Amino acid sequence: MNFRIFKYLIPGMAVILMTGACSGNGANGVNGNAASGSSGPNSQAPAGKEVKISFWHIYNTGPMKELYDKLIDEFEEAHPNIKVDHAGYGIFDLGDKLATALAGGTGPDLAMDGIDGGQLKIKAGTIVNLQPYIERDGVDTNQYFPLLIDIMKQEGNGDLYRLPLETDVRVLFYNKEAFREVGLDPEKPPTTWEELESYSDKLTKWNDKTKLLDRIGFAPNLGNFWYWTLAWTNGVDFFDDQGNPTLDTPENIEAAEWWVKMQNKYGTKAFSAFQSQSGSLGFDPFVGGKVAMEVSTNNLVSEIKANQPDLEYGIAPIPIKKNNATWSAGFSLEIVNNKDQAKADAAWELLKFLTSTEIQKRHHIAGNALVGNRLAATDPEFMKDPDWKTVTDQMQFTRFLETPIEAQGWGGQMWKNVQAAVAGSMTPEQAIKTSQKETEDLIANYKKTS
Amino acid sequence: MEQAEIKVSPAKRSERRNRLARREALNGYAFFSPWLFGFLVFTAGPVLYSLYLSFTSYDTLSSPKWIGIMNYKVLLTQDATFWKSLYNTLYYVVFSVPLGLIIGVLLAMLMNQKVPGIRFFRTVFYLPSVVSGVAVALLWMWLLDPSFGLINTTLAKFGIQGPGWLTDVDWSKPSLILMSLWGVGGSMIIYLAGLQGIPRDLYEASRVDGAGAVRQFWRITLPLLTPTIFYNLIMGLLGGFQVFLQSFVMTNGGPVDSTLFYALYLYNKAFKSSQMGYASAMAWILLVLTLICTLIVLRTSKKWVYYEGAENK
Repeated sequence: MNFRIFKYLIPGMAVILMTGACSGNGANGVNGNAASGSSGPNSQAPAGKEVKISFWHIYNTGPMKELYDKLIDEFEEAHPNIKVDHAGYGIFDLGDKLATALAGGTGPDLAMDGIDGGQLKIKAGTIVNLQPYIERDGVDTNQYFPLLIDIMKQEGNGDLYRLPLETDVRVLFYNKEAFREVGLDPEKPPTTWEELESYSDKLTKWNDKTKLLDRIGFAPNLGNFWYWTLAWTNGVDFFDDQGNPTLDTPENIEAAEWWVKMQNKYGTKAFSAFQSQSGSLGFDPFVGGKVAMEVSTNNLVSEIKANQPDLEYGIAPIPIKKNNATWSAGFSLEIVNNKDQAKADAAWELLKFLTSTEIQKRHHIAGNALVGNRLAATDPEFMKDPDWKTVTDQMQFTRFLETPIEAQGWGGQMWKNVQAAVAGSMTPEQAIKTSQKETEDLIANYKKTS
Repeated sequence: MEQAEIKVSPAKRSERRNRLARREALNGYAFFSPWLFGFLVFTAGPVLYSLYLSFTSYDTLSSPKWIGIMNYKVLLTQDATFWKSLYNTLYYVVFSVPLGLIIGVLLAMLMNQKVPGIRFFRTVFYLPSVVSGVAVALLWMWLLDPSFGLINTTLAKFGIQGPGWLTDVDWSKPSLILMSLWGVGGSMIIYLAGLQGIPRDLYEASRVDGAGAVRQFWRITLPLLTPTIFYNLIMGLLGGFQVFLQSFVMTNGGPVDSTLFYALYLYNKAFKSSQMGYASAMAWILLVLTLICTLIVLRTSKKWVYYEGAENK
């Protein structure tokens, strides 16, 4: 223990002295900027005064936890006046925990949170405007994926309130061995809906004896393909510029019809048997070789590496009808407005550190994640892998599912209706018409009760 | 003063008694105050606050905004999902509560037999109600699996093609009701206690009068068990209206909203869409509904619940 203290003490002292020397210079420049903003950030907290901040994230296990423990140590070493109390809560628990903590005013100083739903927090003043910090420190926002930056801005004035940490993107995974087996060129994945269907029909294998499925070519309900992603590839926009729902377009109905047709090639009985059987594998059916083509997020690569490193697979853009499109979700970092300038300033230092190119590269290496920092994600070293290049290329087409405050849950309702069409309790057209109606009602009811 | 000590007037005496009584009362309140404090702060306070919230728009981050009865109006007149979730919940209550009562009573009567090893069986039947709800839910997801679940594979042995259970719109609610019956051991134990509280001599006397087992059941067992049935009915109703965990864990309301119970919809509105005011209004509507049902049961109870030796008042 004593040795540990000494190990940090000397470099720590050096850093204190250095930052102390620098802050004198930096402060002047910053004050000029801060004066123009209404509540701009202070210059860095005085080096001697210790600031303790808390940071909540999702990394509670495995290599990402190890990395984050290490990163926080490094950060504290570089910022001896900042102490970080950080905790990983896991991907499913963080959201609920954060929502209740923010409502109760007991949130952390720096929080990782889902990419959606930021506007509510901006409107309520729950999170801190990052724009003054970004301008003060000259952070180049071009280093992040532009699409991510766009959804992190305040509607209207364009101030950034969050910065992207990591995202994902959906692509088509296909099994090259299966392609060869049925005489398809393993270097030519399907690019259109029509090709996807004809390839799928070739790749599907029925068991003559049990009348069940030995292998599925492609089924939209498998993997991580959500209905809206398909609709986007047919040029569908679910909302117009005024935020009115425009779900009931011929393109959207066409997409729903196609989804239902593709899914119903297998029948409920055989498909549910297939799902139960492949579910017992403990990993994705594509990884187990039970599905020849599947839309999933880039993170499936890690699952393949972990479970079936020998699987011969390719990655391609999602086949389309009209235009390229795919769906992303992810996480951002935000400073919680705990009305403590020193803590907000310290949280910003950590935020800046974690989203910087160098750190984000290490983030990618540890978790195989598609990080929000474009320069890190598309580092030439990583881009040598053609699959990774395909993944990052999708970032120019990708979209986020719009979740207007007034229409929260509309996407889930549309998904439910399309599944009702798959089950045969309504036609695809009815499913889309119902979704339009339900979304309109959702908005009308929200407006009346807000 | 001295005089008073020697010759205590009746007025003084009663004053002293009052003082004593007051002190006793104060002591009582002092002992009871931690509970009262907890009740006011952690139960009554939040309950009343939610009543206030039900008349507001509250997204949990900004402060609540008063909107009058709008939440109630929209819920009752314009929210189709609200009615769907209410229907699902009533369906669940209407089937699971009476079935639970009947099976609970029958099981308790079986467990009341004097046969060797009865304690073992009592434990076995009681066991499911000790297991945590989420564990039960996960277990039943395996049992109800359409292709490889124990239930359908067993049915298949008899040549019966089992339904899709939780994946089938028509079978999802019955599946959850079936599952709830598995946990009937909790009320069985209470019935068992009720059965053992019935005096033996009543059976002996009726046997002398020539009553058979069936007649004994209808004339003695059932009437004297009604207080217990009454208790379990009320508890069952309260629990039934609040059914949440099964659909939250197993189906997330699906397929196609067929298991979207009232409490799950409320939860979604509160925590997924951040419409806390709307959700609070739902909670109060549910409270009123539960209250009405309970009152109906209480009112009718005079007609069918018999308290031994209470002259059936």
